[in-house]
Amino acid sequence: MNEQDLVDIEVTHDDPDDLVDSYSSEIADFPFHRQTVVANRLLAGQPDTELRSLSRVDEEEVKLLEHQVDAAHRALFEMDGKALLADEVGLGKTIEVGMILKEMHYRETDDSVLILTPAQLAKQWQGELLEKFGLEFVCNYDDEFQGFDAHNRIIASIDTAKSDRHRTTVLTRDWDVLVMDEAHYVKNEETDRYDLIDKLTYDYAFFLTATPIQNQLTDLYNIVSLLRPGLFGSRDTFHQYFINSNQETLVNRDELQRRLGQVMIRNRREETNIDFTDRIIDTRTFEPSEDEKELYNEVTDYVRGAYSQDQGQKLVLMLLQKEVVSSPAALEGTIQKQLYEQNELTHREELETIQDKIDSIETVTKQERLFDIVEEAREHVEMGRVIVFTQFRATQRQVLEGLQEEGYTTHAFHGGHSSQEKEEIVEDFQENGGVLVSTDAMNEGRNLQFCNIMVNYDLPWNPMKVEQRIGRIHRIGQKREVYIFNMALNDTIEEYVLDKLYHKIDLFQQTVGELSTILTRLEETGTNFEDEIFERLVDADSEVELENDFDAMAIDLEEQQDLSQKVEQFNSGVFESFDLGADDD
Amino acid sequence: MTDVTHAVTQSALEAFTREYLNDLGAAIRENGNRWQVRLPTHVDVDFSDRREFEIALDSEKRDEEEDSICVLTPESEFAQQLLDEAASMATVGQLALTDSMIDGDYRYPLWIVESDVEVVDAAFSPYYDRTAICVFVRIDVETVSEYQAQFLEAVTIDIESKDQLPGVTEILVDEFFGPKSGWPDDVTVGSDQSDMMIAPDKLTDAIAAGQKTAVEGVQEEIAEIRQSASRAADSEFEEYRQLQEQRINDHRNETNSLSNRLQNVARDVDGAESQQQRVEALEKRQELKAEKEELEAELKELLEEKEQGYTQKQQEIYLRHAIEVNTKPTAFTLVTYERGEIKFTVGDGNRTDVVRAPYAIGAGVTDEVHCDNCNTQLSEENPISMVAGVLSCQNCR
Repeated sequence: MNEQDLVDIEVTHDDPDDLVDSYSSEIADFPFHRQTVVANRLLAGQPDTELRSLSRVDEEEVKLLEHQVDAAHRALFEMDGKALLADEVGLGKTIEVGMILKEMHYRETDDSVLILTPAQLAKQWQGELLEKFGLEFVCNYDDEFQGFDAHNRIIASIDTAKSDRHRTTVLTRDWDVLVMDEAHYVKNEETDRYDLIDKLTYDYAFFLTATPIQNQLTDLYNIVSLLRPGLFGSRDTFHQYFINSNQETLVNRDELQRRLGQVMIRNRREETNIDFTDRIIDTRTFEPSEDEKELYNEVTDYVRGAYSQDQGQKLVLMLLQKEVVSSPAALEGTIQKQLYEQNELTHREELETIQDKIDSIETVTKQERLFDIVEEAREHVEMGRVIVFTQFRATQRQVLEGLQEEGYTTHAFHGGHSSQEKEEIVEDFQENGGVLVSTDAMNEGRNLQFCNIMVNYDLPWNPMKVEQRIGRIHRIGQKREVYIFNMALNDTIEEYVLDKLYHKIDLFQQTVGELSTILTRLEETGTNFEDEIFERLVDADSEVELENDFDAMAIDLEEQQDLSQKVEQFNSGVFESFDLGADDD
Repeated sequence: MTDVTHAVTQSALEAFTREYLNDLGAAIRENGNRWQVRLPTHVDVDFSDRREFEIALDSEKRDEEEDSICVLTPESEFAQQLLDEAASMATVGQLALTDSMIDGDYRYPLWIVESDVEVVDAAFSPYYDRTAICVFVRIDVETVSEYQAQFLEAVTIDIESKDQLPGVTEILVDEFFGPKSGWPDDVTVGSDQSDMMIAPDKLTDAIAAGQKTAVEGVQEEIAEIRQSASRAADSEFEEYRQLQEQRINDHRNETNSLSNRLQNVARDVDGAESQQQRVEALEKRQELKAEKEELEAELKELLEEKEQGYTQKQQEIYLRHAIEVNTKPTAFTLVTYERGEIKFTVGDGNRTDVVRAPYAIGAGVTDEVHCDNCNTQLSEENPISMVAGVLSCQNCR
């Protein structure tokens, strides 16, 4: 617009007589004057208590719940951007942080953001923030990651951040926002992790944990003191004031809750209106055919033998062991690769025997039995929608072919699709029903609540992955009971894992949060789940020994689970009636 | 000028209210989202007619008997009352900015910032105090098409030299006037005005200068509002123009139709079978003629207006959409600040040297400084430089 096209501006200035008169009569005490200036500042400002980015959240991607919006709001506006989000498990703490980060992004107060998570959750965080909130982060496991000073939005495992290689860079930077998932990781003030967070510089911080207290009340003191130094005074004061001398009981609970209320938000399942529907688990084990049995034994013997000679081959051997229980097709791919692409082949004969045994298999038992489940679904549920999960693309192809031959509507979903294609596949599945056969590429942040039947065609040896599969359909928004079918052949590693481990810890009824508590504990004792399973398999000299080994592992797991549950109970005790909401009385 | 508008967040509001009530001598018992407040007997406030009352920090529904509870949220009436009352309570205050207060956090001049030397040490020697005022100016921008916009700008001006001191404004706003900041209580603040009495006309001049400067601080915002007001005026004018076009068409159609009817009536006159009929037809023709003439006159007027591009109407519309900017000084703080000399010890990693400059607390280096070697003025473009341990400037090298 040209200057002549613009409307006129008329500026008038009120004369300052009143002020000059005030000056002549009396200059106020400074505290009162300060109040006047502050009041003038606030009067000129806009009420700022709305999540302005809320309208920009894609409701297709994420359904925001009242308690989540409320938590994000309070963390930002009432707690000045430093909050401990301590909802009970399964209520969507990640969503709350997503909303907070989205809002900060909207308000341009998030130039540099560091999200620290346990290693196994980093990629999941990345996926969720992108898909649900359109926020792009670089993860330390990405190829493009070039260090903590090279990107402005980073998701990293806390242990990478504290490593000698990165620690200095992480600490040199002034971060705008720090998010720490599973904040109970830093409960102990004598650890490197605690030290890292203590030394980090940041303006805003959001810590997440479902169990702010892992063992003792001091855990809480440590975590809260990182967020709000001084809220609880010194460690000694805290102990004297809140903990009974025998360390067992809590005193001055009201005061503790009042102070916690300034920094902590804890929603409880019973207070939200979310109904989690039931999960019905149906584990089906089948007798393998003679050919399948022979193939399984051949592979297992080969794996044991080869591993005892060369432990460097562990990954590929582990892969073979997983593939043989998934499908002959999956196994064949790896065997072929070994046979024809390996330069120095040491076990040609055994591999060729395995190949021969693969060739001799005529019917695949699991595949046949899958038809039963799919057929039941076709008769009983809306549009016969079933999701079948497998870890391997070759198995996926074989299952798809089988289903198509039987005349079922099928959909394939794997990591090779573009995001657009993935969208279309899911839409197509929703509209036309039938069977969706998916690899674990489905895991990240995709919601399929419109389906309530899921088949684990094969089983990951990592319980978290199993839970993530289930989480695709059993989540907030699912209105029907969820059916989970597990398939395994008798006397195989899969059966052991299912029967001895997963059922023992009641895996299929656990939520991600509960599971992560158990796994975190295991991790702290230096245990890697997949390795444990594999080592037990190859080390056992007999079937009896193998069974005993798995029993021992199950006991260990159960112990961790008991501990987790005790911790959860203790937390509920401390935070009983912890209510910062509307009705304080 | 500095934008000192502060967003009305719940926590800012709570901090303000807590401090305000405490300063009034009230006793507050905080219990989660409810505060029990007891005011001292000697205090008279507008926001409550009772000595004891309860404040709720949320606007959730409550029982009917709790109607009397004061709701403190960013949009509540009580918050507004409280702020209104406090905003006019003590509009004039004073404080002293001293070296001890800034804790060695000196403002380096651009001729050091942009140079390749580093400040190893800085020491300030106060010589005398100067007086400035930091005036808080409310700026209202009003148009017919937009909601009224409001800004609050702070400008600090030296009473004598009329120099602006943005650094002082920054310190004041950050350290003394944040809702949650508290203030450094070891500095001299008070109401003893014996040592600085400013003549009213000087004060008026300084405040007026502050008001003018404040408007400059919101030029961009005003320009934006002006653009959108102009667009609103434009579209109103365009609507008017289309309406007139429509009227021209309607008039033309109407005139044509009248012409036709006149012709018909003319035929009636000629073909009248009786005197009576003829008279009636003639009267009708007269009537229609008058109507047509009236319409033609109007059409002519419309066409003339169109030819001139409806300039008069355009001016009217633009005038109505004009922006009114009004400034009102709402409060000011008298600030005494120390002036003196600063000694910067600078170095290049190996050797150090000293450079002195006139300096004021909060304001930074107050005067031009020249290169000892070539006497060229030091500036951002001509920073100091160190060659073989000797200070000179970029120009000398």
